[in-house]
Amino acid sequence: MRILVYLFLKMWQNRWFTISTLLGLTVAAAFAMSIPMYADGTLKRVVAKSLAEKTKGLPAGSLYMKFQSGAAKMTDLEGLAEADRWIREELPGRIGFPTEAFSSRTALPPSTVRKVQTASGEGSAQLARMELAEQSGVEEKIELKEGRMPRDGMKDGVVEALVLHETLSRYGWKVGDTLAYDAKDADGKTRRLSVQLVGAYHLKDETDLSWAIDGKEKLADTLLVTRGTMEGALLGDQRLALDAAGWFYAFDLSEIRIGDLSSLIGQLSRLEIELHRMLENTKVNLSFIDMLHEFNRQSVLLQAMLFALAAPVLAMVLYYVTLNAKQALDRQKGDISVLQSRGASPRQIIALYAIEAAILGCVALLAGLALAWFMAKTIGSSSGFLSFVGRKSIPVGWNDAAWLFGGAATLLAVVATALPIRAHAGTSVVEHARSRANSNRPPLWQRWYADLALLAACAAGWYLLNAGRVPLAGGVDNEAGIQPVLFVLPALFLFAAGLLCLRLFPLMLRAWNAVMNNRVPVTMYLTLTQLSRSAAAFYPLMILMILTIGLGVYNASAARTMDVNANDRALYQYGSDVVLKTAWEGVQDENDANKIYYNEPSFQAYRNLEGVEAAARVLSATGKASVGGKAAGNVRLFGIDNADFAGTAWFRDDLFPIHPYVYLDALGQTEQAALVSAAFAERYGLQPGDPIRVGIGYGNEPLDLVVVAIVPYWPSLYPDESPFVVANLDYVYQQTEKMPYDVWLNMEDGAKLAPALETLAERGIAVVQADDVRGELIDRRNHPAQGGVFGILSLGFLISLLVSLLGYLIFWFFALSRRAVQLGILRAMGLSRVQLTGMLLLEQLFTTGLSVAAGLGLGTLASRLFLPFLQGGGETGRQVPPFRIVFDSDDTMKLYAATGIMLAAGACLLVLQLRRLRIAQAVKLGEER
Amino acid sequence: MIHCEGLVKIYKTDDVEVVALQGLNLTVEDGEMMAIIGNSGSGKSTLLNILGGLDRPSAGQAIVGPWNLLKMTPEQLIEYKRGTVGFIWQNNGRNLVPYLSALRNVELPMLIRGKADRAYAKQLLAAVGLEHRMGSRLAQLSGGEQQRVAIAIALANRPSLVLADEPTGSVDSATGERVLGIFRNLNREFGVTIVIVTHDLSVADKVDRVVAIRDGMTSTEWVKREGETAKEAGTNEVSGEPRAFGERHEEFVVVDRVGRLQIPKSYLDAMGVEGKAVLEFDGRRVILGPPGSAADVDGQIGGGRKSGTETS
Repeated sequence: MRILVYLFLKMWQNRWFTISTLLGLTVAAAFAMSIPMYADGTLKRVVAKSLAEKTKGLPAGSLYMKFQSGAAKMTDLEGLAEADRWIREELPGRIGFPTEAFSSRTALPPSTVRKVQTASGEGSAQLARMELAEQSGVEEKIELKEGRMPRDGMKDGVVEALVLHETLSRYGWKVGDTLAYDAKDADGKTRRLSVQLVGAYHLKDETDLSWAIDGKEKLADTLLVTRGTMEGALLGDQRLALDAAGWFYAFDLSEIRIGDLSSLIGQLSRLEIELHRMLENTKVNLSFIDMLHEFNRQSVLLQAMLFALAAPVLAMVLYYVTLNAKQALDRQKGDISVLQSRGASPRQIIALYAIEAAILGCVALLAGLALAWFMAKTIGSSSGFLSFVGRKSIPVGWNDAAWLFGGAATLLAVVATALPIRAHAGTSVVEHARSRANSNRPPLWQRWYADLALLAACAAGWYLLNAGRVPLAGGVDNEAGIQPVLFVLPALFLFAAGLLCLRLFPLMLRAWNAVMNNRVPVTMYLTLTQLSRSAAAFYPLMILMILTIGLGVYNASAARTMDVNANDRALYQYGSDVVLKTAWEGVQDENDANKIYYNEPSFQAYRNLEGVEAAARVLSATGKASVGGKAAGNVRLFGIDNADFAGTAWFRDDLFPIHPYVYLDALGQTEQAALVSAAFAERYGLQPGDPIRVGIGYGNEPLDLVVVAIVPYWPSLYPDESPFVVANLDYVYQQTEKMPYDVWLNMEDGAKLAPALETLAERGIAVVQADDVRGELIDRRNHPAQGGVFGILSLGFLISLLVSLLGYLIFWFFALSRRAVQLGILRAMGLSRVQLTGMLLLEQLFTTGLSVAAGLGLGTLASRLFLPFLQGGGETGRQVPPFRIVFDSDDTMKLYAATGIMLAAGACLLVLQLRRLRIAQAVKLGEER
Repeated sequence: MIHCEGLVKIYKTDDVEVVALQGLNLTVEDGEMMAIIGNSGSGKSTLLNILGGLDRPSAGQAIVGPWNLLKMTPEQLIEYKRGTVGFIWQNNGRNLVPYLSALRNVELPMLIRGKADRAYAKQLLAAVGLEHRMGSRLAQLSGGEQQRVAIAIALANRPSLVLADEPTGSVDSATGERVLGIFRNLNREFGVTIVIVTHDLSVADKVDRVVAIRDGMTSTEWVKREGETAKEAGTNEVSGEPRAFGERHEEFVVVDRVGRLQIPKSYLDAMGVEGKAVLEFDGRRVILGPPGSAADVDGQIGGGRKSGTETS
């Protein structure tokens, strides 16, 4: 225990290292934990959505078990009772979700019933097929219209039963009538029962979930007896054969979590076995296990993807932790060798540091819990790279996976912390002193050419991706699903390329030195000498910075590229904000029923709509093209008003060689003008000025057009699927019968569609269909996977920035105190404080500044190399408009700002520390400490 | 206690090979308090590090008590460091953990061995005269006090051998005197064998036996004359008295098992001996001279102090 006191004193003595290690551990644990926590919370959203989609009459958490008496003559009454009890009492507990509804039903085989002749002689020939059954929950959920509730048991061979009021009137029965019901007993003999209708009822609430399976239709054909009658008298005393027994549960799954899934799936898959054991021939007819499997699959995919995105950052945090631990150990080398020379075994020293790491790990795990909750919320509220919106109540949940991930990350981090001690544990004072002498060897990776090897591996990966050997679209079926390899590989690339840069760094310094020899001011000379002599000491920090900035650039542009391209895709597909289809009045041709003469509704109705900036008529029809008199296949004829179209359609500038308005303008030159798709034009050798004929409409009326321009793309048209011809709508209508067109609307920002539709309805326009692209965009942004990707990328960047800042500060604090003697000598030699500060700042400029520059360059390079593969991950085949890699200036500014703030903060702290450093004292103490 | 014979230590770096000890012989008896002197680079610190178990000899024989330093396993070495030997360095950074109090520093070796004995630790600190500074940290102690704490630390696990590397190197002479006094008391009261490495002749003056190391070998040995030892024991002499080293010691040149001895370079220079010399034996003494000087031997040899030299 005394050793713990020593440990705490030691930790306190090195408190800055302790705290920064703790911070690194906490961040690692929290980041790892936040992923499952976010995924768990997101699952609830997915579940809620799935529940809404998959409900077809039955609630999502429906479970229906049915016993069907088969060939066996005798019903196993004991088994039935046991199964019934088990299902009623134990099953809900095993499922563990609140029960929304329960119903059970036991029925005799249906029989044809006939009203028994009464004394009055009023007979009835009307036959009805009815089922004598008992059903749970009847007492509370029905309302008696007539008569009374039936009594248990059989009296004088008569069974009392209830019947639905509608049935009563349907068959012309009355309360008090007696029906003859044929049932079979266990021996297979037919037994005639007398069933007296003692009451008629109707359902209090027909939509009650308890009626979901055996609902009103079934009840209409049911003679309802009490449970006592069924079990005691009919099945028991009379030994009648049972037909079927069914149990229905509806569970409320809205609170489901990832952690519940596996146990629930286990329970459900065991259910049939359990039931069969108790009562043969009992089957689970309806289960929600498939849905759970689907949830499970989705959550696993989501977690795996998010984790892959987070992995590079986690690796960086671990690296930081190791780096930090290494520097802390360097500082404690003296103490360790004191312990060593007093007879502490390497094992004791390792144990000491392992205990320290473990203590820190435990604290980090606990602190990480709170931080993880916050991080998960942050992930949930991200709407793009480094942009967060205040989304209300992002659900965040705990589950086992969170503990697992957090525990694993912490363990890894603890190991990373304790790992460097191995190198130090065996060093005695003597070796310590000796190792000071030859510390300027190039690091291991440089001697082993690890950087080149890694770079080669990345090149191989890139080649495989490029050759399409790595399936990019497999497995993940939602559009936001992306291949993790597209984030792991670039991280690796950045790392390797960063190392390569570091290899070049000293060479560059040397070259600079050679060129500028003795012609630089003394501060710069000192800086350069210092850097070129101990470049290796700066490597860890530099690689950290390069990775941070590089990954930041890559992630930012990846997120932005994904977002923008998906948006482009949707916008291109729709063509404009809103596409309306309206109902047109038409008159049938007298001779040909298929030919319809349409009346065009007034387009004026679309003017001055609330929130609508512009509207355009857009006709899209299939036509048969012929070029030079020869048929040229089907084309899509697109009729537009060029001025209106310019105001409504969505054009992406890089789609066209020249500005799209130029094409529209060309369209307006002559009424016959037409634009044709590039592939089509090439195939038939069309040039601007060539005539082309398109037959459209019911009668294939020919339309003579003149090609004025050739375009590669046109909003909402896919040249790969069908060639297109864009013509003037007015000209089309002149030449042919009118056909219904769509109306494209360009909405004002944030304007709602509903008021516009209302106005349209008032003006007499019947809108059949309204497609709003903005809704789809919002849906996609809110998709858990999409939000998660953005969230993880943003959070990852912030974390790596934090880690870099910490690494930077720790490194420089450490470097300053280590170099106190040197600085003291320089001061004693007459260097002013300003010059000293200048020298240190120059050093930072050379190391950090170069790292940042390298990070930016490498990040951009990685984006250019790897981001084109992202398009393979989305919907394949329909990648129109062409994929583009986006570097948003906003993102870059954010990146610069964040980095700038970090560096400025670091520099300020350094200057502060320099002022505090008592250099004179350092000189006196010498370099032993 | 210590028996070294033909001890060799070679330091190897990538391109340089330094032979720090080249066949050193040294014997130290149980309970002896002796000093090793020598110039910088003579190998005295290397010897001490080897004896302290911090460094492994390259060849030869080094036996401390029951331990053979050359053949020890790493586990045995740890056991040796924990129980047999106590080490005091000149630089206190190596002796002490700076952020611990004096008491905790003394307890640390005990903790490493197993259990801390606080009472004994206090007793040790009292023995070096620091009972009032037990709670102080390194920074709050003066250099001499730190050195005394270092002595207490070295004694924490009741070692039978204490090695001190320039224990008075960084303190003033009065403090150095006091430190030496403590050593002497320890030696006398607990019977601890004490080996002090120093280049300070005034320290060497106060021990029973002094061995000089030159170029990795023991060259000269001084043994305190009988009377001096007794006198010193009686008076417990006061510091500050200027006295040249050697007045109370008898000087011997060390001849090893195969008959090799070292002749100081200055002698050789004075004689003009280069590579070859002439050796004469008259039955009682060996006479060494430059080539061609054999004829008029008798009158010229000797030169002051050399007269006392004898083969043993």
